[in-house]
Amino acid sequence: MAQPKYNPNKVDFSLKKEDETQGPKSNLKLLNDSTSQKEFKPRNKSNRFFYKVSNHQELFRIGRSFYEDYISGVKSFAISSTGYQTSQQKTILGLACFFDHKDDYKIAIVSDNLQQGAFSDIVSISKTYESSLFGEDYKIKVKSFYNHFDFINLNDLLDLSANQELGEYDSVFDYIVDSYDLVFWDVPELHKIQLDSERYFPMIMKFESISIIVSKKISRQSDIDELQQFFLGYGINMKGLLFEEKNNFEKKVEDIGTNKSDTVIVKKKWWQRIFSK
Amino acid sequence: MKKFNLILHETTILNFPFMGKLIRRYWYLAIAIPALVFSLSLYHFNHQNNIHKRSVFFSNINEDHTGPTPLMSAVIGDQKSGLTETDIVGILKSLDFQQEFAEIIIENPDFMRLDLSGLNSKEPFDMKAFLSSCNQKVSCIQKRVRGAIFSFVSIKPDHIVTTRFSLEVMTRDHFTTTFLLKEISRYIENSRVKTIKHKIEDQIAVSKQLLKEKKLELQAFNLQGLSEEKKSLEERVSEIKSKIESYNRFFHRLKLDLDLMETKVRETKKASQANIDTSKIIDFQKRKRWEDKIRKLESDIGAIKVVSQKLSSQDEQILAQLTSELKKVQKKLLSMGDRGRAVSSEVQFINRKEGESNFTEFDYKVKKEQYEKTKKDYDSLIAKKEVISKKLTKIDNKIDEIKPSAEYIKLLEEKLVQLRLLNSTVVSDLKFENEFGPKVVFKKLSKVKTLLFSTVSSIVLLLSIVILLYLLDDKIYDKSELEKTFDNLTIIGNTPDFD
Repeated sequence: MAQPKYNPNKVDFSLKKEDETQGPKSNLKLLNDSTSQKEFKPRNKSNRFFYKVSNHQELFRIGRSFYEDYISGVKSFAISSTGYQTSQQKTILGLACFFDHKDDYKIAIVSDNLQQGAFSDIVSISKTYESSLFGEDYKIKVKSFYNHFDFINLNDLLDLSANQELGEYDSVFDYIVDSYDLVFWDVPELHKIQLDSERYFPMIMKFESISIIVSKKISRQSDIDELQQFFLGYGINMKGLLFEEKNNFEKKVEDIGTNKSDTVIVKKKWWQRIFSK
Repeated sequence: MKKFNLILHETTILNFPFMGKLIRRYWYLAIAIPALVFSLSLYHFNHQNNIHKRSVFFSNINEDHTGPTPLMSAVIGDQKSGLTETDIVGILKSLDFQQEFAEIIIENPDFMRLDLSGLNSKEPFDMKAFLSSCNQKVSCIQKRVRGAIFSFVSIKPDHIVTTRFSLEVMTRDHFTTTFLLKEISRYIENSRVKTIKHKIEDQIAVSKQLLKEKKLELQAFNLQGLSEEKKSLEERVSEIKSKIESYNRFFHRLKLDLDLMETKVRETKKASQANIDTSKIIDFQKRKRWEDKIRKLESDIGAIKVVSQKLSSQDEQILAQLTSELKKVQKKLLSMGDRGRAVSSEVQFINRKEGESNFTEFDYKVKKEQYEKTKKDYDSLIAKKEVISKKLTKIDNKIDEIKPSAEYIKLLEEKLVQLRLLNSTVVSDLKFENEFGPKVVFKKLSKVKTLLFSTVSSIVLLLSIVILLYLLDDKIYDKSELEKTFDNLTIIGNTPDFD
């Protein structure tokens, strides 16, 4: 497995400076496999790998918050929610893009749900390679997305706990954190962790900061409290809450209202405008 | 608690902007609740009964002091306390009044035509069915009728004229309204006359009883006998007083006479014992002689002057001689001075007193005896007068003791006369107007009230339900709410969104 490319202590932290040197450009771009890491593929040439973030300002705001934490030495970020895996994945993807955009970091994304949700498209076009643990004895599959991010299937890691030959199951997670500049943990649902806490415990212990996604009109205060109490019980630093302004239902409604392909915007009815909040 | 803090506001109590947000959040309630409330109100308004209302005004003439009864009462000094506003408004609450009216109204031939169903009742009214539960029991029927009728009737004070009131009747039926208004107003007047008469008759009975008791008390004292005795004693005292007065006058005169008499007797005795000097007697005789001579000479001179108009020389000579003689004698008499003058009176006095002495002493004795007798009589009269006066004082005291009772009886008799006069001239102190008010048909809850009620109910209900939902709703709806709910956590920002 590769060593971290980046030493945060030698980095110029000024975001402005970087913007100024590189000039205005799109916030999120994916590199083609033919493109070097330093050369971004022009947006108009290919949109196959292009992710467009609709709320750049928000991404910049949360990205800077995470970036400040990273500068202060935090490198293992867990993103959790009360059951909104897609939101978790999008947030992780957004943050990964932000950091990737920021500098040439080695970023790992650990999730048990790589084949579904926001990751599925990217994972499907990522190259798989095997990374060896503890020498050549044990190997795990890593899906590298054009050297931007590495996707690691959490289930593969959890399965190692059943391997009797592997002496130190906990050190697998240490190894992953040590191998990357940044690790984003797509935290599984709480009930899964509670059901099999022994297997999940080494992973949880590697969380240096956890953020909880709160979805508008769906998340319940009691669920968030439960989640918060659970991770606080393990002494994990609670970074804060991320608010998901538009839940999936609203997005669907909006997609129906706006015919993007025809670029015709259907205006909302007066009652929809009044009661849209 | 955090949620309450969001709902409440320190100035306006409710946090209205937040309430607006909640209403927008539960927008379906903002449509459903007012729609429901207004629909129910409309349904209720349309299904209300038509209420027939009519009223008649009446005045409390006892209060304004212009009616005949209070004026007459005032003239003869009767201090009546009339009905107060509370009494009048409460007339209809009296169970006796209600019972008596129910008894009368049941006997009325139009009673069966009345509609005594409740104002909110939807069913048509049937009197037979209404009374059927009583099984012909009169007391039960009266009780039911009483309860039904007096729920339709009320007395309200006029807001402008303090002595004016209105009797209002509201039923479902026009005939019942007018009928009850007429009968109740008539019955109130009659009832008032009856009540006043009853009160006066009670007073008469009490006064009579009291008078009888007081008279019996007075008879034990025999006031008449005492009065007659007092009169007789007063006459006797007056008689004795006049006697004493005349005796007093006579006694004083007698005393003066007696003193005079005593002096006379003493002086007479002294005079009869006195001696007269001889030279004084000679002087007295000489003076008398000269005085006689002067008198003669003067008469001669006068005679000569009167007789002769023209005096002859001889006459003149005689006249001169007589004049000279007169002057000489007068000179001699003057030279004697007072000598011989007192002696003549003394002698005469002594001689006369010697004669009178025996009579004077006798008279004195008589007067003295008379004086003593008169004094005795006078003293006896004074003593008698004192005795009678004491007796009179005792009787006076006794009469004074029983005098208040007598006065009381007198007043009672006067009062009895007044009450009898009043009783024969009693009229009702509540005077109803002849004309009834206009017929008014309305619904219990008016359109405006229904609308107002619906609006207020909708708002209150909507706010209550919205607040309740908010308190029960555990979901997070916006970032500000998230910040307030989890104030111990940082809100990093919004999740990124991909197109």
